Amino acid sequence: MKKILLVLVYVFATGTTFMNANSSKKEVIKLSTTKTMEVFDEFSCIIGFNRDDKARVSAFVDNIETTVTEENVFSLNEISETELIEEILKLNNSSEDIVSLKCCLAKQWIKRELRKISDQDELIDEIGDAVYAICEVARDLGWID
Amino acid sequence: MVSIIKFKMIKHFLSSIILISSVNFFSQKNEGIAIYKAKTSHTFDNIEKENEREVLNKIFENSGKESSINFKLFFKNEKSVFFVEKALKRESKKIDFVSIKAKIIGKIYVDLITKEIVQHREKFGEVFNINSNLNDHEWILTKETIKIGNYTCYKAILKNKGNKKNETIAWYSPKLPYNIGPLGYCGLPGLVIVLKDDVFIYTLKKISFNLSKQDEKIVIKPNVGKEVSVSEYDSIYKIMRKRKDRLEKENYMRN
Repeated sequence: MKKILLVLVYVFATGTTFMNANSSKKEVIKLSTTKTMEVFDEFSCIIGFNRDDKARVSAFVDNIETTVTEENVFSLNEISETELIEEILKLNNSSEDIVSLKCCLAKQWIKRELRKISDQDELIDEIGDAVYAICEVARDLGWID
Repeated sequence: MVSIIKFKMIKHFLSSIILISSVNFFSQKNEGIAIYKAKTSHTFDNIEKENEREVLNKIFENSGKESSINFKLFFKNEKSVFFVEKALKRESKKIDFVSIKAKIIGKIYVDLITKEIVQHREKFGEVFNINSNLNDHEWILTKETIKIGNYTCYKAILKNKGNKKNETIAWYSPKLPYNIGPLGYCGLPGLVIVLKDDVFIYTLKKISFNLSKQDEKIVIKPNVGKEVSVSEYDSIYKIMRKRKDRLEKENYMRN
């Protein structure tokens, strides 16, 4: 029971944290293939969760770029990087993949924070893996949606 | 005259006794076991966003709290081995930095005469002997002191080679004349009582001056494993890590 509560709190807090953290920063993403691919590269593990290959993602991003009209480009520019990735994934993937994305973002965020204070790469990788493993358990049990 | 001769004889006798007993004293003491405990040197208190701070405190074991894991340093003459005692199963489900660190240390062998430092460990299904040299640890000795238990400890700072983010600091006691310490940090004029690196603080909790025959067998240079330098291991690690991530990704996609 304690474990369930812990995971639920974590998942809820993580979801809110990452979405809020990004939107509060008001980092505006320019809708270009290069920039979007940079985002994908930074959170490289989501490519795997996409159940798609990188070329397909790239083609998909290119497609967004060409289908953007003057009318919708403003709203697209307003959304955060995380939201953009989620929007892209929603079109091609199941909700399970979206949850995996959240876990992946949590892992990458922890790793990025730890790299600010430490040079112990292996330790940081292991901690990132541990964070992802906890999140994955929650996903498999259906505690995150 | 006779009394002077007698006095000189007694003096020589006493000197010999003191010398012999001090040799015995130090030879007995030149082996033993030092036990260290570790905790993280950072807390999440300085994270600005409250919700992020809360999440970190919920998923990670209380930072700044000492772990129950024992880090052992066996030493005999100029040789020592640092390793982690097999930990008891943890009750907490939270992620513990110290447990993760303990998993990746392996055994660290130091020979003060040959100046060898060998980290013997398994990674990606392969056993490595990661070789470095005592001279790689250049210390800046300071006059700053603190009292830890009964020992006055002096501060030493490891010379920062390669723009490390944080400095490594050791507090050593010349009263314990062993030039060794945790994690292979050695070469100081006394046993390292406290070691602080960028993530952890290791503190000496107990020291005994006896090694059983069984314990002595532990203080040997590892002879099985792929011999690599630190930089070679770092390169191997990066390649293997990428390969591991790719395989996990492929497995996920296959499922």
